[in-house]
Amino acid sequence: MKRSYSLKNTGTVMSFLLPSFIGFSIFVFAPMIMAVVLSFTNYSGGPKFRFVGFKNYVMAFSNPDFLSYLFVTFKFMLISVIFQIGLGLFFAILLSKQFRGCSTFRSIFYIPNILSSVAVGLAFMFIFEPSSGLINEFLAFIGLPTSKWLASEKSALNVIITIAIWQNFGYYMVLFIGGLQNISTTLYEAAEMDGANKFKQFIHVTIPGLSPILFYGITIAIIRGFQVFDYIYIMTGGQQGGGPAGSTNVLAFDIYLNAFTYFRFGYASAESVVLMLIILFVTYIQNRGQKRWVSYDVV
Amino acid sequence: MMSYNLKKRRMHVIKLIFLSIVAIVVLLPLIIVLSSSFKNESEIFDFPFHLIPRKTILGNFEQLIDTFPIYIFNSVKLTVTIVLVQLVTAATGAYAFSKLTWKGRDFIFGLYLASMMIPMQAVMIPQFIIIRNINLYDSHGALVLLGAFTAFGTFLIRQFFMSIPNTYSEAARIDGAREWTIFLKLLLPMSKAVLVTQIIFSFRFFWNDFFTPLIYITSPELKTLPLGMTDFVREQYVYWGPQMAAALISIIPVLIIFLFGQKYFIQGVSSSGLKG
Amino acid sequence: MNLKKLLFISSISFLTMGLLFANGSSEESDSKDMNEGPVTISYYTWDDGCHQALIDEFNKTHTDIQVDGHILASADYETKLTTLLSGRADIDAFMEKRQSDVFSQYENGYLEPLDSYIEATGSKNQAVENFKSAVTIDDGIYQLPWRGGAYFTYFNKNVFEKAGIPTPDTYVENGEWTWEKFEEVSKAIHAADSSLIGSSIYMWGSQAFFKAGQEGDSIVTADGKIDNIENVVDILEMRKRLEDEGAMWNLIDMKVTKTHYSKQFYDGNLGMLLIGEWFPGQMVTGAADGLYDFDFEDWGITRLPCDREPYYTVGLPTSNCITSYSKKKQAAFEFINWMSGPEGSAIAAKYGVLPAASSEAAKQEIAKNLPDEKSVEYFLENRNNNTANFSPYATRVETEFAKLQEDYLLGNLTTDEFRTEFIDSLEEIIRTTY
Repeated sequence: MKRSYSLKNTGTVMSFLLPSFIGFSIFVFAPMIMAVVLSFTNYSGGPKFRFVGFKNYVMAFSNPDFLSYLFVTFKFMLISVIFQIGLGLFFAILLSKQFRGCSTFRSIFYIPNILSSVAVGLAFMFIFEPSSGLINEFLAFIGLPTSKWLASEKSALNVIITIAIWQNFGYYMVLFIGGLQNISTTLYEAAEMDGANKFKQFIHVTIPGLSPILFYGITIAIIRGFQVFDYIYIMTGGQQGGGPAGSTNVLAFDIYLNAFTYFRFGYASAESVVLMLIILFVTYIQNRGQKRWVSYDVV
Repeated sequence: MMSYNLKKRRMHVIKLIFLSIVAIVVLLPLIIVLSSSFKNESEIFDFPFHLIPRKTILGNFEQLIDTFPIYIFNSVKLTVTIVLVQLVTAATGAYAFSKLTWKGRDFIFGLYLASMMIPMQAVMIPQFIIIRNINLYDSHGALVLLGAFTAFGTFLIRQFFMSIPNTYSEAARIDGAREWTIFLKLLLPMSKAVLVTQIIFSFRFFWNDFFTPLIYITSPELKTLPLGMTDFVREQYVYWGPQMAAALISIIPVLIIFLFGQKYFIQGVSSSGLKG
Repeated sequence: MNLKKLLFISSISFLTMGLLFANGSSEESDSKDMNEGPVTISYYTWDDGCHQALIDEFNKTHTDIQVDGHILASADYETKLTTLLSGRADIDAFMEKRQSDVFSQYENGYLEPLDSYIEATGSKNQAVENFKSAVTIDDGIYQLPWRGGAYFTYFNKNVFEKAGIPTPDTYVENGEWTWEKFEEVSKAIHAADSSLIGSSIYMWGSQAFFKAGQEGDSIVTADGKIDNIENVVDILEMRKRLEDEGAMWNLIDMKVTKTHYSKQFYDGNLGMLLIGEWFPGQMVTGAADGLYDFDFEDWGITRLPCDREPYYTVGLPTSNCITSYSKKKQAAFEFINWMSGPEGSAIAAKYGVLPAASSEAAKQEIAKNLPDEKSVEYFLENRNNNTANFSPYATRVETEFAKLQEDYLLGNLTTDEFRTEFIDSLEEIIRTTY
């Protein structure tokens, strides 16, 4: 009796799991394992390669550039996550209740997210142009000092972070609007009857109700932040080696250069594995922390 | 009462003004793209930037007429297919990871999450070798198979399912409902908002995806829109005008999906009474 | 539980390993069916009108061999080609875009040596002879060049007239067109009228190796030794002096503003541009599209500045390769050999491309794209060609150099610091290449 139940149960689980698991194991997991294996070789794209043990890892950690890429990556991740999530949440709350024109504002804030990266690259080039770009003209007009923006190793990374925030806060806004729709209005009514003000409602109703999606958003933002590649690639000229004097070189950019420009796939794989482990670690910490603030059952 | 209403209206006006200012700032880059798509190659790079082209031309759009209809058709076909496949795999997977209990569940889910964390550059070549070995190189099938699984989507829908109290599904189970019935009849209707969010995100992702088509598609008649834009990137020269025109055109379908999907965001509110 | 996990992971990885390395074996059988009808070869190149025309013309004039051309986007062609070769995609021959990739392809055994095929034709291949050092690896020939590579000084006659100084070809004739003279002339133009820019050297790392190439330095030699870098330092110092005065286009500015060298020249206030042999083609299309205001006769071509006798230019040819795993090598060779020969070069010339081995017909075609007699003479003269930084280390050297060059131009490094850091990074590159 028990056996047949568990067999039936296995069948049910399989019927839900398999559609995604087949694609996952063949096209995602298997290549991932391959990448891990290759990180212990001197693979350069061809059949002739040999195992080199931990050499790639040792090389990475003894290279001061690698550590500086890690630092830049971390900085990018931290700042962009804070602003993307913060602005996303702010505008989601402003625009979650229906009013005339709210749909237009939602669309406008989401548009940057749709725009192709080539167009983004060109548009921001005009805005941040060092001599007569729009920002500098504006700053000069209101009497503030101008900057060299992308042309200076001091500000280039901040410019790129700004662009990333501009393009992505709309994504998180949409995500959070979707999540906010799920919080029952009766909860707010009950809170109001208890005499809770707007701020208290936000802390005691909005945040707990949104927390599963908020947790998702933060996790995704962290992962994307760590893996940032395209902004660096577009804004600083792909093979011309990144921003001024290497100031914007993030780890994923170095991985790309090593894999497809220098043919050092083994080393690139090792860098990838290190990046994966770091993200895994950060996500793990965050996952441990979620028990304190993410509530799955309040709604 | 009067003054309360007045105060509320004043707040609303301030909110609208604030949102409008932000909207203008957010749209500025788009306006630059719009203006550039009507300029010739030399004028695009004139400084300082001027909004109205000195010589307005339609040539950038005319250059798209021959090839882009087929690219757009391919993109629509592929994106719609992938979005639908993803919706099925992500929703069923999410159900298995949130509402069913089985041995190894958290371990497999952990692997799903880990797969989001390895950089794409590291798995590109192994993926290609697998696709080539099943003879799908230079076909749309390769793109569909590679896009069939989404860790992001599975994770998103799982998070949402987790927030739906188990009491609903347990009550249904006691009534003798099968898991698929609970999934299709109970959970999915409650999850419209998140399903729409997932559709919007995965639509946008494949609509703009450049690297996967770059690697797997070679024949011109199979190209997608982002790949087609590189028609104007020549060895020694990049034609920006037609690319800006194409970028403008490519916003439209995603915007339509987005506006259409918004309807369901409101429905989410009205149906929420169900759960109170 | 843990054992199960381990079992699960290892079975999947074995499955993948099988998929990864079992490829190719199943296709060995069907190789010798050359006699039935025309042989179709699979050829990969990037999007360019000239490449399409070459394939079309070959297919029209040949019945026994047909070329199935796969024309890829020019952007990221290298990334895609690498992936294709790693996956042993069906490629018989391909065109090489980033020349230094040839070393890695050779190391991985993707390339077929062409010596025996060339010998079998019974005569020397002129294109190979013209660029021998650029196509030879370990005494074998692995590439057939079809497009020549050479850098020139392009100048705007109006700018020189405004500044009241003679055009660079005057100095070439007197045998005094040295790098020192180039600097002097650049400054003189800007000094005469501050709205004029003396000269522009583009942002690619390779552009800083002009003098090193002419003098025969390799930066890093093929066997992993650091060569003389003083000629690199010379050009770098000159660049900084000129940029500081405003006499040269600022490198970091042109990078962040994506200002193309053609746009710089089209604007009409740039005196001299040092760029490659493809530029006349861009002047022709630029005129057709009305992208510049001066007349077609107002610009000219002459030699690159050079400190040594006899004159040397720099530049790499563009070549074709045959894959080692192709089953139609002879047919593939006939196609790429035709492309390098007189018929191919005549078509290339029609598109404003300088062929690797020029024929009389090609020369007449090319002359149509040039502004005057003197320019034709300098463009087509017999000259020596050297290349700095052409080694398995080349791409990494270029990227590392670009980074340090920016640091130097920003004023963060003194010349001595640049020297030390450059040597350090070269050592690092050599040490970590295996």
